[in-house]
Amino acid sequence: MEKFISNIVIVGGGTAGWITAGTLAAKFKKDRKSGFKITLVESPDVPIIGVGEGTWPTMRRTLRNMGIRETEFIKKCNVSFKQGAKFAKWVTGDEDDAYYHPLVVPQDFDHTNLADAWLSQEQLKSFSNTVCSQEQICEHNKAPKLISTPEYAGIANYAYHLDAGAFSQFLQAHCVDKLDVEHVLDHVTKINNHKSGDISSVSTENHGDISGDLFVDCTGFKSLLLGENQNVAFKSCSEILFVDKALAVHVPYQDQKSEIASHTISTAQSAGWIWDIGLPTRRGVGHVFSSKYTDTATAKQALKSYIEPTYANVEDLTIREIDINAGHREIFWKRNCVAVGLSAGFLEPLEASALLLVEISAEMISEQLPATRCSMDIVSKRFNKTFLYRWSCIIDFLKLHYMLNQRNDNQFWIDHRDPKTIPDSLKELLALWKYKSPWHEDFEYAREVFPAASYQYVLYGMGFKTNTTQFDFSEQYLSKANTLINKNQIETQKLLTTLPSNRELLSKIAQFGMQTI
Amino acid sequence: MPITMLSAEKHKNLRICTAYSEEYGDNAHTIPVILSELKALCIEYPICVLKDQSTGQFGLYVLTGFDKGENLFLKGNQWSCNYVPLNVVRQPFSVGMNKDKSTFVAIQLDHKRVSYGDGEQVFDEHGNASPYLRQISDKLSVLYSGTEQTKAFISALLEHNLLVQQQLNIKPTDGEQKTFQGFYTINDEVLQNLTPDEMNKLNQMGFLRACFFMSASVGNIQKLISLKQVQNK
Repeated sequence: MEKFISNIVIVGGGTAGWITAGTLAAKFKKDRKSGFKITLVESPDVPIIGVGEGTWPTMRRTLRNMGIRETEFIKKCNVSFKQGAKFAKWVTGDEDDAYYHPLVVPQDFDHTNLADAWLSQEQLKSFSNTVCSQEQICEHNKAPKLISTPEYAGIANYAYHLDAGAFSQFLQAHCVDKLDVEHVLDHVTKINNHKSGDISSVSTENHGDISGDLFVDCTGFKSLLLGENQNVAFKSCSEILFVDKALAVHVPYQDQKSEIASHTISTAQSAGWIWDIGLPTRRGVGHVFSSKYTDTATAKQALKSYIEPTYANVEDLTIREIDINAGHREIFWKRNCVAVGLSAGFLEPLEASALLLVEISAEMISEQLPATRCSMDIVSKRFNKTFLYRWSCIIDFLKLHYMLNQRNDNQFWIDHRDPKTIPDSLKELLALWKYKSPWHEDFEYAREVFPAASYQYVLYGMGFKTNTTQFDFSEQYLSKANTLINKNQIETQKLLTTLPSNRELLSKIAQFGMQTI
Repeated sequence: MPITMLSAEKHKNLRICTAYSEEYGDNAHTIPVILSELKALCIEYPICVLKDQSTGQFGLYVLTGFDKGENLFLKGNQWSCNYVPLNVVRQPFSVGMNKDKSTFVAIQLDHKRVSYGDGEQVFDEHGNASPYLRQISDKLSVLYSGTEQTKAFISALLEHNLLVQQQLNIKPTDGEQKTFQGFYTINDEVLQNLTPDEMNKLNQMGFLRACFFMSASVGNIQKLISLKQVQNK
């Protein structure tokens, strides 16, 4: 009988490595009494990139599945709540140019498409303000829940902002102490192969050869296993997304009472954009830009000018430079090696997709883990198909933010509108939406990375015109839509009076903790 | 609120009205209780666990009404059942704590029960504690020692997943249906399926019988609804 897949080796210990280890280990522990082993090999002195200070709401499920208490996670990883993103100056670049991509879907989104009602009426309010409460909640720096709301439950949908370095350590402790993941701190010196080309083991300096049935490559940009050993080529998408550099900096708050923004603030610059993420103890701010359209010195100056109104001593801050190579591997799972995290690919952090991809990769590996080597090629084929689609969806969605701009201040923005730089898949979607607003059935998969709601928020936030004049909407639809829009207004007012501020809730959690029920 | 240490010297002529009244603040619809009271409480009130809205922390309570300011057990100046929770009876006294953690009897002087005319004497003519005060200080010490034990009880309930959130739909005969959320009771299924080991552990702490008291007390919600319907007539 063929040998069962029971020994999994993860190489690399950043957030990607530990999320994968935790997800697999928790699933195994739940389903099986014995007969599995997860080993994570990590070099003691390879610096962790720590990308992604923003998550998606999926992180709540990911952490819960690992058996982590939300209170512990929030206390130890310097976490604050994130309820979406505010995009400033992405359309015209004017001072009052801004829109939201909130995390809640529009009212009654399963059944009613409120975009049609909004499009067919005089647009006195922004799209997101018309169909949901979250733009207002964020504008008032409110939290998504109350101290009496149980862990992982929310009144408004939410994700997290976190300290990636602390997060990695926190996950490590949990995986080792609670989930029996074996942690090997050692340098990987060599990767060994079977005749078939499969990886047989990784050689280490002090722990000998560590063999396994499945190898997960979490080695970061180097992609030691999938890229180097398995020779899977990198596919750049820099002709679609131009950003290739990032400058990152930690900014202290003015004082302990400063509001903590409940959303990521993304402000467009002349050849890129600046992220601004509020953690309880500091802000994480950074400028991503294209070196083709500006230079590092100019970008640094733009970053400093952005920070200066809220923090005077900008010259004292340490700015880190990071190179971004936008794109991904041609496939992600080859033979008995699968890449998760930066080793699979990287895209700019505009929609916080880095950690999301790690989570859903780990989830699919754990759910579809092949029983034997024989069936692994079937699973890897499915995995590659799913993830090629997901990466292309994310690329399309990121491009959407750029191509709908109306700015002419730098060739960067003009070139982003050039049809030659727009993927066909995105062109097709936009053709559909010229006369019809995005809806669930427009997409191929039941579990899409970005649902129709996300497309609606960005399209109508950026002033995309869907011409619905030829539709004569029924009285029944319009009256239902108006009821929902009014309901939203009442709910918004109620939430603004009941929800505490983001900072207030976070300090209560630090003091009292949250209940699990 | 001026809460000070009770002193025979300063408060010699003080008297306390021991009747119950809305005026005295006895109209709360939830009352915090302690573990050792559960046996007496369970035949009169629904006992449940509620979250403090400002801290999210669980506490042990009895329900006395469905709306803020509605105590259905309060009929004029009478409490219409046999056992009144210690946290009501002790008013206006409480346990005060010194910096060195030693305790003393404290009094809230602006409490409406405090009088200088009618009511129970606190000190006799020699400045000694009256029988009433002795009774009160006994009750205070029961409450004080019971607070930690009650916290431990709730922690044990959480640890064993013994709590479940309930939703109550109440429809008074002539009123609109109302939904009450946010109160937690014993999950009977989990209670029945405890392992002998778990049961033994809970029993040794005195928590097992408390679970049964709580579980049985849920039936008193019907009594509370009846009281509400009588009141509405």
